[in-house]
Amino acid sequence: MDRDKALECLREALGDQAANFRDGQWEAIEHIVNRRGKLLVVQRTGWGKSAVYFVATRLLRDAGAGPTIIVSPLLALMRNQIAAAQRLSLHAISIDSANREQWDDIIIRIREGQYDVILISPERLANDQFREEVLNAIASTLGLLVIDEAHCISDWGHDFRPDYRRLVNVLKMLPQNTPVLGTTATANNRVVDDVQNQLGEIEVHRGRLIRESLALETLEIPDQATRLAWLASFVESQQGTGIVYTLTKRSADQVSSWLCDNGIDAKPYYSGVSLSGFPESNSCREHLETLLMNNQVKVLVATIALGMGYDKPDLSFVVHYQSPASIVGYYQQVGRAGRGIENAVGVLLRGNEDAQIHEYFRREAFPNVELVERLLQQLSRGDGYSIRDLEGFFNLSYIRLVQLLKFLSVESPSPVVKRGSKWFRTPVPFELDQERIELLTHQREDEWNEVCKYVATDQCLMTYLRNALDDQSIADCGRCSNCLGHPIVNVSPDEQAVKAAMLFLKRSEMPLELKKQAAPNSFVTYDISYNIPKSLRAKEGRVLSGWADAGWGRKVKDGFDGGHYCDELVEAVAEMIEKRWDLSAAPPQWITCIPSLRAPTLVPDFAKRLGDRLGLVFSPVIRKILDNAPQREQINRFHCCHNLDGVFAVDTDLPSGPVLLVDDTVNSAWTLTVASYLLRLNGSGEVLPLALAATGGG
Amino acid sequence: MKISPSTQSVLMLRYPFSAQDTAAILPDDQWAAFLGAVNVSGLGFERLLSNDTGLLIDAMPQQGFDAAQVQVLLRRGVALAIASEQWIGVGVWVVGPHDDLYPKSVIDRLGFEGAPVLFGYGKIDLLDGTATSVHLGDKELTRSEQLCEHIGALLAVHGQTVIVNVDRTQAASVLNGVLNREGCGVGMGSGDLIEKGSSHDYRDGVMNNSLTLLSLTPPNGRCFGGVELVDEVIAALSENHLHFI
Repeated sequence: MDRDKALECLREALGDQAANFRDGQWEAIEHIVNRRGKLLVVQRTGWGKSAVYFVATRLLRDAGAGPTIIVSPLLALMRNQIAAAQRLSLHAISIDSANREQWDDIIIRIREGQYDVILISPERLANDQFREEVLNAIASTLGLLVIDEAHCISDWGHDFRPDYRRLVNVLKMLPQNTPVLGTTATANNRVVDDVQNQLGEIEVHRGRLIRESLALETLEIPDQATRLAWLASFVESQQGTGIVYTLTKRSADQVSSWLCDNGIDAKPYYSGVSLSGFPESNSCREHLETLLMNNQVKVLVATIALGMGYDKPDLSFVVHYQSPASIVGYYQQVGRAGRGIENAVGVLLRGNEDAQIHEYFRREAFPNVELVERLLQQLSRGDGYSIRDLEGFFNLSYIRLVQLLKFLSVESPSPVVKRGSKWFRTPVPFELDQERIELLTHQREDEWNEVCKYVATDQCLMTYLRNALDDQSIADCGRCSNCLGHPIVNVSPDEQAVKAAMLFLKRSEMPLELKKQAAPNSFVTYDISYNIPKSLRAKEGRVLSGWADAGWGRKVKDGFDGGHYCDELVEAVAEMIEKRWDLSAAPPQWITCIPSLRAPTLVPDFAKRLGDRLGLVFSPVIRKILDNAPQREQINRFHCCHNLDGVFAVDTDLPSGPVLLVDDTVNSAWTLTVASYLLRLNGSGEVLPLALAATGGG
Repeated sequence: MKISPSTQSVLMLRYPFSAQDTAAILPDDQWAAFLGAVNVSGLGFERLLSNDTGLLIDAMPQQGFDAAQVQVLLRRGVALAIASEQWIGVGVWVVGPHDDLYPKSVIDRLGFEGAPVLFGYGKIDLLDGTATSVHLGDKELTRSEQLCEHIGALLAVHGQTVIVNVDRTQAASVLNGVLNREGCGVGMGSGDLIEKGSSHDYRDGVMNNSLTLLSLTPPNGRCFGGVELVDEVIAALSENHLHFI
């Protein structure tokens, strides 16, 4: 294959007859097409990595090879890719959950050679059902394999994902004569070395990571109210659209809601986000991406779910409301801004809560040895267990069990295997690699410390980022706040705005939905089989705050620790009920609470004062008749239910009318669910559950 | 464990990797002709997956096989990688006739062209010892779990490695008898190896290194060779044969 033919393809792809290869592009194409080699390309965004694999695909297809399969992590990227492929007359198709009904038809077309490029996500590639239904049917036709965002295959990378581990295992199995192209814009030397070590004979082509349009700034604003006020002023001051990154879904919702309250068109974006009119989250995310792409929304407030591959050339700002976990991750996220415009802004804010959140993430990242051993022992005792079966044996949440089994299943060789809906123990000896886990945990701590140093540094911020990515440029950017010696945006929120933000945080109550289905065989005494009858369920309730959060959560924690909830909390709940909770359909006539044997007066005292304030009679009609283990220690549905079986009794002679049911903290919501069930069973009116703080994550 | 390049070549030329795989694999006669051509040309099988495969095949004597089809099949690298990741990922090992670990007795009996790729769990060197195969044919006998266990136990006491066809009724009982007496067993079949290896019947034996499970069929793949080939391989691996008629 000669260079001229490849150049012709490139010009066709770009629609520009004067176009020429950028440094390294032809070399990459030649390596794949002529030498059928394995190659990792590390180049900045915008260099033209996709041109390499599309031109290579065109040349390989013309020479009779099968279609290219691109493994790509983001829906938005796939849609961009399909459009880019079309410019080279390549027929591309993504196979994802959105076109599940067309899979059979797509398989036929692929076998007939109608598609040149097939895009799938790493999650799909790792999904056994997808492999069985789709991949097995087309795999023998495939030619080139492309791994987009290839840094994800390194668990030394900032963004390791378990599904990429299976991808690595696939890559390790590739015969020598199968070409592979990995691409990334964010890999430092450590990650590149690791990819090379994992994949063996893979050549690396590396370019410079320059980003001239970005002006960077860092700000330490510990309290959330001031940060929210700053953010609203900042976004208002900006031309164009942007992304605000948060660490949690709850923060994304909260920040988005705050910006909306300030007249800014903002929407939250994260894995599992929902919007009315979108039955499933993927289509909702796609809609939000399109809104931003078309400048129909000013800002998306997103978790890192909106990261890799989202390509909007005119994005003019990226703000991190909370600090990211690593500099490499930060570079990738802030790098979404200013790709196709001359001026863009990236601001990293650091708050009080950031360190605690990252510590939690690090702690939860790996399972502990004892748990893994117990799980494998249990699996060895039988011939297959569903996750629901395992919930009975382990006091772990359903999601935690899924994560744990997934963690084990991507080990190679793995001690577990999934067949149908059941998990089995394979005959493979297994020991958790604690040394590796410790190393990775330390590395993540180091990466977090590097972020803290970035916030504090007085050197050029862009140089700091590039050096962290092992791009040893020495020239300062001349655009960041450190180079300029003054802030790049002149924003200073006034006292009023900070007060408004404080008020907003204190009014960030959440709806409280109680449970509808019990775990089988968990309520023997109460005889609840599975579905809790609708007539015995509570109405939607409210939670005043998140545990220890910047709104009322801190006061709740102080009250819990000190054994007394202050009058400010009584007033806050009363105000919420009177002003922001529409109870006109079932106005409460009396108030009761969840009793406790450990702190017998704490909640009743609060409920009584709240009743006095609202003019409701307090009737402590629920009695605790069995001392059970602390409910907060119960994690999964079976254990949450089982721990409450037979614990409460309710008086039969109840006051009439709807009742406000109060507890101080809520986690799984099973305590309130059981109490509501018993109240309804004993003839109470509608039950309106209420808690001071939610202790669950999010 | 990795699959050697020569076994990768055999797999790509001869095996569908799943029930849905529609690749037109080489039929027996073309396979034998192709093996002959490889021998004549003096190429090692591992060379077939080099970056100049096309040139190498063009240089071979072209009689008796479809060279173009061979080239197409040898490009099934992505399919092989996806399939074999699932096998190796749950601890299955894969050896082909050109591998050093492959039991010589099978090649002696079936020749390179007839020797199947073996998919296995457990210690591969159990296949090199002297073994006794147990063939359970009688209906009355196969109904008696206790008797089958007893047969296994007796052979174990006499230090025999016992080979049975695990697709047959009560094979698990024989192996159970062997393993209960701290003997060694080999379970051979054409069924799903992962399902067998992960079952309560066989898992502990494999993990204790006293049981080796073998299959002629790639996990999740289509049955290869049929019952006759299983019996042939069992016959090749055993020196003594106990038939219960």
